[in-house]
Parts: sequence; structure tokens; C-alpha cells
Amino acid sequence: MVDDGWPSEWLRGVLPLCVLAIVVEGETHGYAIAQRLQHEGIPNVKGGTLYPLLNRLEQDGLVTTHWTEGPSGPGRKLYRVTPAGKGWLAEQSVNWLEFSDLTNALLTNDMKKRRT
Amino acid sequence: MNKTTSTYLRQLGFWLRFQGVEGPRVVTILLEVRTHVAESSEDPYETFGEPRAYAKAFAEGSRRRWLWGTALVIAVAASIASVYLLASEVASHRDYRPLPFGGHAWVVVAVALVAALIAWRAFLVVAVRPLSSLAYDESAASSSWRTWIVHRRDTTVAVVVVLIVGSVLWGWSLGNDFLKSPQVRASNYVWAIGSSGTPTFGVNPVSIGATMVIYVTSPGPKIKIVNLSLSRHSAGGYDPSVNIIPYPTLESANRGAHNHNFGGTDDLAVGTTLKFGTYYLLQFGGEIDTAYNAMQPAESLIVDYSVNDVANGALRITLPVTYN
Repeated sequence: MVDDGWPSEWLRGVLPLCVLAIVVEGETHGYAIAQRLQHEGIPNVKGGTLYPLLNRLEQDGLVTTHWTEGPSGPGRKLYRVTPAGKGWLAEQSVNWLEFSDLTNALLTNDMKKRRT
Repeated sequence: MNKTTSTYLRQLGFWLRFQGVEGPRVVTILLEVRTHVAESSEDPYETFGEPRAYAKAFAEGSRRRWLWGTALVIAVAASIASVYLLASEVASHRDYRPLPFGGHAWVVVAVALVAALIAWRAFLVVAVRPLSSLAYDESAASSSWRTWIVHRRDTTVAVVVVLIVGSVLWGWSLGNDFLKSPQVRASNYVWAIGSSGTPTFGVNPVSIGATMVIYVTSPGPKIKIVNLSLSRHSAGGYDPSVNIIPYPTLESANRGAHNHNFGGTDDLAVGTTLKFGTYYLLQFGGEIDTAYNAMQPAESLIVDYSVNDVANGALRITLPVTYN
């Protein structure tokens, strides 16, 4: 990983899947998603990227939202995955893993060649 | 909430409205930012970026509504401009008034369209701006702006009524002014003197000298003096002589009428363009023929004028002639 996180071009494709994979585990809110991403090794997802993404997921019908009172201070917007969201996540995860395997194989071969 | 967050929310609310994002969505976005910043203690400028750039991330879904809104505004502005042009046509046919702005009606249409678009944009930013203040009330996030208006029903009804009544009254007076052609008028001050000449073959020539102040009643098309004459023309070859002197106020023109000696040998008045807001001291010298021993005749000065170079009207000024 580079010092300031993964390149944003890489994240653009896979971030919706990662976010949905977190939401599918249980109802959660924006800041918790950001913390979880950081904990999982994706540290550079700022609010400016995360919330518009959540907004798009909501508009596409992959998540639903509702407001609840925060533990202290302002209320929280909670995200919950929809059945359509679950289906999309399952389908796209398979595709991503396949894509990931292909790129892994390609890059692994390249590294082996360079070593020999 | 610290000052930085408060400033950020205010700026973000402004740019979201500017991008055409709907009220309830603006509230939601502001609340998200507020909650995130409160929980993470992060700097909103660092986490979310510049408010203008962040607002753009939500503008995509609003583009269609923006296009529809623009189309609607253009349609309304075009309707207003059409009504204006129609009214011009009616005014033109009714009292031979020339079309406004020398016939460049497209200027009016273009100005109406631009003004309507600017007004709508300003309305989005200014009139709906208080919605951003709802970001401090979480319960408002789930309610739409319509609910917000319903909660203030009396105010809304009052504002709508005032707008409608004001528009009608304003439109009515504007329409009346518009349909009225600018006219030339004379002030109350008119002075005239008549001097009898030598009677010849039963005809008595009388020289008339008159001083008065004339002005244009309303702004608009170009008003030009075409001709000046007395109500009885001299049979002889005596050409009338006229002076016209502009003054900035009616008072100064009236004062000028009292103080200025008649020196009218230059026929300067005919062809003079009269401007709205200027008062003209008009000095006229002419001659009429009366029957020998006739009673002192009533006399008028007739000012023929054109509107946008089309002969339009005549002002008849009764002269209170003092004969000697």
C-alpha cells in the first residue's frame, strides 16, 4: 500500500462492493462504515467520497435509510441493505473475484519472469 | 458545533441549492456532514473537500429537474414577452403608436428570457436558503419542504396573496402606462400678447407673442416637434419665429418664462426632439388676420408632434391673449 492509501482509480471500481459488504452485515451509519473501511486496510476513504457513494446506492435501491437518534448530539442516518442490494452484491462479488484472480495471475507471472 | 462546521454547512447549503438539489435532500446531506464531523472530530473542509466541489457530487440526479425547470422558465418568459409584443401591436393599431424600441422586439424577448433565468436562479439560492437552517433539526430531515410550508400555512397564504395582488396591480398600472402614448403637455403658465397692426381693406393683422412651458408626459419613444402654428393663419407672408430653451425642472422653466426676453428670430423649435424629464420654454411670435373692428379673437397655438418619426398628435394651447 502506498503511504496515503490505495490509488483512487482502484477504489472507484471496488468501493461500492466493499461498502455494501459492510452494510450487509447489519444496519450501520456513515462514520461507522468509514471506520470499518479503515480497520480493513482501506484508510483513505473520506466523507467526500463515501457519502455521495452511499447516496447513489440509495438512489439505485440497493440500500434503504432511516434516521435515528445519536448516542449524544446529532441524529444518525442508518443504512440497511435491500434484497436487490444483496443480489447485486452477490453477483458483483463473483465477478470481482474472477477479475481479481485474472489480474493476480497476470501480475504474479510478470513478477516471476522478472525474478528469473 | 464549532464555527468551521457551521460555516461549512452554510456554504454547502448554498451550493447545493445552486446546483438545483431539492430541499429535503439538501437537509439530509447537511445532516450527514454534521453527524460525521461531530462523531469524528474531523475538519469538514479536509474530509468532504470544498463545499462547492462536494455539492457537485450530488448534482447529477438534479440535472434532469434542472432542465425541466429551465424549460418551464423559458416558456413562462416567452409567454410574457409574447403578451408584451401583442400589447404593442394593439397599442400600435389603436392609436397609431409606433412599435416599441424602434421595432427591435427581439431585444425585449431576449431580455425577458435572461431576466427570468436569473430570477429563477436567484430564487433557488435566496428564497429557499432557509432550508439549510433545518439541518439543525433532525426531525425535519424526513419531512419535505411542502410540510415545511404547510406548517407555516398562514404565512404562505399571505405571501401568495400579496404576490398575486401586487402583480395584478403592478401589471395593471404598467399596462396602462405602456398603452398610453407619450404626449406633449403645456404647464399652467401661458403668457400671450397681441398687437394690432394697420387695418387694410377691412382686415386687421394682429401680431401674437406667446410664452409657455411644454414637456413630455412619460418616457418612451422619440417625440419630435413637427410644426407650430396659430389656429388662424396669416394671409400675409409673415413667418412665425420660435425659440425653444430646455430647463431641468418645471420651476426653472417657469422662472425662465418670466425672465427671458423674447428674441425669437430663429426657427429652432421645429425638428427639436423633446426628452422626458426636461421642460422646454417655448417662445412663439406669429401673426393672425382679424376682420376690421372684430372682437378680440380667442387664439390657440397648435404644436404638432411625431412619435418615432410618425405624425402622432397635436397639442392645442389656448392663449390668454392680452390685446393692445
